[in-house]
Amino acid sequence: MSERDRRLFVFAALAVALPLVLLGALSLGSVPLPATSVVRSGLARLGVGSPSPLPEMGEVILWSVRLPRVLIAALVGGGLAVVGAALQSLFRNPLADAGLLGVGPGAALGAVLAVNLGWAQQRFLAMPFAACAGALLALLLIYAIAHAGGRPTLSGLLLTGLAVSALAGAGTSVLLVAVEEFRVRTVLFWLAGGLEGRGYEHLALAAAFVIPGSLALLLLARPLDVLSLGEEEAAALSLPVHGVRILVFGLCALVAGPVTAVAGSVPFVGLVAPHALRPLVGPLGRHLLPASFLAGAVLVVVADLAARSFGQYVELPLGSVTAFVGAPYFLLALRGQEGRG
Amino acid sequence: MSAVLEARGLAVDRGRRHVLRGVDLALQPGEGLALVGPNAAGKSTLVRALAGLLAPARGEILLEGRPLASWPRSGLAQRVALVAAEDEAPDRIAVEDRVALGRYPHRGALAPLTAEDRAAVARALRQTEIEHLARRPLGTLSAGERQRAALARGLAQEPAVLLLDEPATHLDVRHQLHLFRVLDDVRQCGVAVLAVIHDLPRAAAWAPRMALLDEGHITAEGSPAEVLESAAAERAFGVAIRGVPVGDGPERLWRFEERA
Amino acid sequence: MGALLLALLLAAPAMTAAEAPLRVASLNLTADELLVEMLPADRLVAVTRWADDADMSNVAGRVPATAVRLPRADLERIIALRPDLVVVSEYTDADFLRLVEKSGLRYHRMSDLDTLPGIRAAIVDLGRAVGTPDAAARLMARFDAVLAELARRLEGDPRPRVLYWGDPHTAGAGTAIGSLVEAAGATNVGRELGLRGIVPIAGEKAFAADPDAFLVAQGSGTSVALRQHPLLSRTRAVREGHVVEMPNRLLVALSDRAADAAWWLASRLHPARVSEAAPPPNLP
Repeated sequence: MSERDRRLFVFAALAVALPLVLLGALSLGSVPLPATSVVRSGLARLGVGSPSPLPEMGEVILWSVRLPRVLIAALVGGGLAVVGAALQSLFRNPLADAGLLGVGPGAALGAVLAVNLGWAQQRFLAMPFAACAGALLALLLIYAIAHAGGRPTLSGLLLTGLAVSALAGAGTSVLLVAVEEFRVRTVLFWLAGGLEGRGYEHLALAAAFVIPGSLALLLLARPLDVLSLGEEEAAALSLPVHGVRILVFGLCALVAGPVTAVAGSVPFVGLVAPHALRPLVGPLGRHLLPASFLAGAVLVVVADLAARSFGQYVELPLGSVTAFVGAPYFLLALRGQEGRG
Repeated sequence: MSAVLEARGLAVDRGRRHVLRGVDLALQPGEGLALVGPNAAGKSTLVRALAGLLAPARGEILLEGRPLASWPRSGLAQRVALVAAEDEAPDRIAVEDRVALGRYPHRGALAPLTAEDRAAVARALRQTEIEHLARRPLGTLSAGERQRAALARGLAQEPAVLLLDEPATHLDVRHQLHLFRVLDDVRQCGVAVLAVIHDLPRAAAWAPRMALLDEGHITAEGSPAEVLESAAAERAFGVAIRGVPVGDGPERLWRFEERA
Repeated sequence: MGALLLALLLAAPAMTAAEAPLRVASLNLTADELLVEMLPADRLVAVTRWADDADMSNVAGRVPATAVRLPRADLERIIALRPDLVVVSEYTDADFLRLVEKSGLRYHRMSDLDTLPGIRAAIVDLGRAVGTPDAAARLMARFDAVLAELARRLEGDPRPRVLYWGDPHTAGAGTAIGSLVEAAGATNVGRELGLRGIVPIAGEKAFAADPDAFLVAQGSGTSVALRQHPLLSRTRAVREGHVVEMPNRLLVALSDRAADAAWWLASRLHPARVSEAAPPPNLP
């Protein structure tokens, strides 16, 4: 199969897979709904065709509980995958992802604070907003520290990110240790990742950042390609290297922060999706970024379905599901890389 | 004829080291200049400064008569192409796509590539004789092939000035000769070529003109024979160089003798 | 069923039939215990999985078979049961509750269960919310009577100093366990130390506090841990065997059984004054 044909095939497969997976996730769950009924219910909402065949409680489950959740899962997966692909270009390392940004630990710190102060129980959306604020503050801190000594190098950015992550993690631990037991459990559940109880407001929060952010990253596809040639060659090709780096970094944090705020920690998606797609669609941003978005969306929708289907006493944490799949993939990929090198 | 790229009293520091201390150099359209000098003389620094990547501490650089600093970034890159010795391009990118990134200064981030762009890329691939590798990932190429791909990227920029830092290091003899032929072809179209060449006989065999960079200054300039046989060259390299004519043409056999 | 409904309508004229929630789902153990006492079997549609656990629940074995045991708070399953009211704890998070509302369900939140007066008020509240104020009043009357009798018997007896230990947590002020200890005629060392909530306590601090007795959960291995703890095993309380192992179902009781829990603890701390482990059945 030629390169171009292979690429077209992959895009076609993803374009078909996503709606199928969405339909499946809307139909399956602790209360199974027939897929045809789901479709007809959807059409009925749009004013097309006969009224919904679902009983009232089925309608409620589908529209109030499942639809926002499944859409959030798609946005979370798509956003994290695009961010992963962009960061892999930026750091010129196929194993980079959102974890490098300090966004996760920053968000966790925000969430712990919200729980500590009792906001999470009292105020709606308190925890996501606090987590979002924490993530963006972490980014600002990384930016400020990295720029304190003039323009930062790539490794400077990376190391600052790691240091700020460690700092945020330490703060989180202190707060967790000194606090009431039930609050610890609340935070731990959130940290492990999950979409339980997420509604349309959370969807709006996620969409407001993920959609524009991902689009912006897509528009930066060619600059990312130029950047991947190396700092010097990129500069010689008229790319404002420093500016583009900061812009990409910032966009990645703007997408990953709210995603973490809404869904907790969902690891490996940003790593696995682009890494798996790169041999199939090529490394160019204009192919890899959109393909990653689609693949990431499919992955997390399926993972979320698994999380709510296989847990008996609690939902499986979404982060654990992605880790169970992602970590072995990651290890195999690492071995493959070393074998070649 | 006015110079297309000119350095006047150029001084460049790297950290606290005064690498270039007052360089005067002018490149005419269509000319070929080999830049030689001992290790750490600052040849790479000079080339990067001429490409606008390093800010001068003193002096100025003029492109088409205007100071480099007054040029917009993309305008500069449309006219000056730098092909460095090290190639950090990722392994997975296809040769053709890598070369096509040379059109970035002309197209920017969003504009799609035009037929003109594609023609420039095809021409560059043809000139460097790597058309047959167009869709291969860069990582599957030999070092020499990668170097030619880098050169093709520079040619795809369709610059007025082509700056090359050690373009021949990984090339086998056949491809080295071919490289210089490409440079001469490109010069025919009016492109000014400056190449940093480590291998003195090789540099002398190609270059119509040569400049010697030593201790931060251009200490000798002229034909290869004039430069290599000068006292400045002996001082710079620590060897006495004599060129022995071979046949009636301009070719010479170069002899190097350590100074006593 | 019809007679009951009529009775409800007559007994609570302020509520229309549409307002009084018929079907109630409980998402926390305290509500399980109270609702099993207050609601007729066909009105209780769901309980938690702990309701049947004899170790955790004071109504184990008495939960109607028709009530669905929910292994977890799965909103989809809850909706499928079509409850008119969902009873949640104060620990349930706001985002989940918003979704419950958006799904067209009403919820009642149990709160302020960290003091005995708070528990009393919560019982009344719940009774009002599910439309069984009489049943709630009965529970409340018994609750008050047990505590009053207990207070009468404990009158004048010195109060031992008790430290609840949860390896490594203790109960400070503002906790149900703290209130339990105080109702049982003891002083809560956790409160004495200025702590609030269920918080960790350093071994050294616990040692220095030198309590008269330790209170631990039965069967959690905590009493063994105490006896093996390098510092705490050397406290006067442990050496003299004053370690009270309380059954879980009583220790964490936040329903009307909190009064029984206080009674049980008092029987261990003041054996001369309170000889029976359970309150006499004929109260009030």
